[in-house]
Amino acid sequence: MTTGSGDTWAHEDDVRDTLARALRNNLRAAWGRAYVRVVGVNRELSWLFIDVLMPLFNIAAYVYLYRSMGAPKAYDGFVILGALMTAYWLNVLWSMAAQFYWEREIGHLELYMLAPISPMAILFGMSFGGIFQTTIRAVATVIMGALIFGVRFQIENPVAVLGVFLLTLAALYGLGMTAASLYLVYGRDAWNLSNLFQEPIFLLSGINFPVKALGFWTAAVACLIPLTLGMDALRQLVFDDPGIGFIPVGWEVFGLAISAVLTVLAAWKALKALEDLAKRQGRLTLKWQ
Amino acid sequence: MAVSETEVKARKGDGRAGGWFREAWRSFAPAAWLGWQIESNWTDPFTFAVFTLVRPLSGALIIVVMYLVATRTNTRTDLFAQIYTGNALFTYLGAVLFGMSWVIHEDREHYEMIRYVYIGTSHLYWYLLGRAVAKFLVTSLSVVVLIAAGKLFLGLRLFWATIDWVYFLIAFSLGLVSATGLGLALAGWMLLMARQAGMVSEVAAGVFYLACGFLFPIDVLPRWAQAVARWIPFTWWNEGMRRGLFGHGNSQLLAGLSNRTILIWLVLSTLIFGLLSLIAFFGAERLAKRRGLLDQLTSF
Repeated sequence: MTTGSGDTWAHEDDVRDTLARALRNNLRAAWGRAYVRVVGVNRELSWLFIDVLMPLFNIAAYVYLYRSMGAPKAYDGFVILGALMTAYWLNVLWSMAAQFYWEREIGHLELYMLAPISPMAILFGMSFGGIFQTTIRAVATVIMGALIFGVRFQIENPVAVLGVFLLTLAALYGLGMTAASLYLVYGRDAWNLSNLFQEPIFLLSGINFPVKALGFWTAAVACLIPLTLGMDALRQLVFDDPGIGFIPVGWEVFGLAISAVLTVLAAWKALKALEDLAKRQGRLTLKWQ
Repeated sequence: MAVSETEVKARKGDGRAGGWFREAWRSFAPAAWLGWQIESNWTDPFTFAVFTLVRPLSGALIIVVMYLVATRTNTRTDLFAQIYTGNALFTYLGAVLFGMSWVIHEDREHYEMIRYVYIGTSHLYWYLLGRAVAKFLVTSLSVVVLIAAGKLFLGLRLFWATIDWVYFLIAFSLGLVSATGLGLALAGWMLLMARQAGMVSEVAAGVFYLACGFLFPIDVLPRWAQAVARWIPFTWWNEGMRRGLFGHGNSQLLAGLSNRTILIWLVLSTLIFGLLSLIAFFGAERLAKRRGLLDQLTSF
């Protein structure tokens, strides 16, 4: 009995060691992937300059369009808030979802697959790095846009704004992780899919206007996209206009929380399924598809 | 087997009538075909058509909803026609700039073929021009569908009978020359830069979207920006195309100028812009060659 208990304890210790080592390896992998974006990308100041400047031109174009049509001043703020969330959505599309495409082309993907880590660790690392990288650029753009066009945000509850914002990011990056799994199998077709998810998503999520302007049913369907819920909730919290929202913020927070959980679970499942499929079809490291 | 200088000249077409053209065509035509294949052969024609049209249609609908939200009127107004058409025509500029400059990254970093393209073609710019053809065709399809959708579903106030086609086509062609020139200059710049710099073409497109009056008249810009806009050929391109289509532009600042003056400004600015673009392209190409950057791989 004594020997048996000793074996059990030894076995439990082994399991604990293995789990601890796996956790440590995955956390190191996540940090390693995030490091490139947290430190590496921000070393190149010319990119930082371009990334801040580009949305600023778009902001200016849409602000002047609203002004030329005689729109109320508050609409300038819609454009700036839209630009903030656009930056994250583009990062999700091109630096999360499509990133595995580039990783495969340059030979990193096979290293990730061979390493004793979960691909989820790489995706979590990319997410944290991507959020950090985009936040620096997006905040700079928003501050400059707000200063240039004299936009004032009326934030009565900063905690609620921050909470909704973080929840939106969780749901968006979960979606990006799910989409990334497609690139384990597909090439240009998935690339074109990412391309397709720009303007149509900007339209459906009401990037530059209140989403209720799309009409009830279209807006209701559009709420399946986390960006729509996040944008509508943020607009209600940031602008003092009671008639602006499509549905109450509480419901949107609930929807975003569900989305965040579901998209991360979907990413985990999809990664496993598509990795297996890609291995069976011999497409995991197939370049130039 | 050694190839004699005479044979090389004969292959390159030197010393024969039309040889230069034939040589250019031999780089241009396969590049156009290749561009079309890359654009379209990843799926069946129907899916390709849907993918090609959904993005520009959604982009146009964003403008439509913004217009409806801001003005609370209907779309059967001259203001709407100007905004909608300007947005549709701008897609040419965006597509040419992005299409030509992105080729460098695509061929260098993705397909890793640029060294062979560089050696195998008579000159890189014929290849780049050829690759732009596919983008031009796809964009033309989008613009036609956008205008047709505007007429059919939004009551776009654009009337075929009053369009001055000759004037429109002259203005359109000249602007396309400017856009192609700028596309070449950006492609040259890309030879020197890493993959992430692919966004530069979008920054350039963003500047012209803002400054040249495609969405709104340049009159609403600050005075200094209006002065800058007058030096950009795309401002005159935009004004010229609008006059061809509607009989008038959308800017009060330019309203006093005759159609002929607009064309003269367009020709002059195109010549200056084209020349500067060629200088920039050849300068960047020479620098890339000297620094050994032509086939660099920048993995980030």
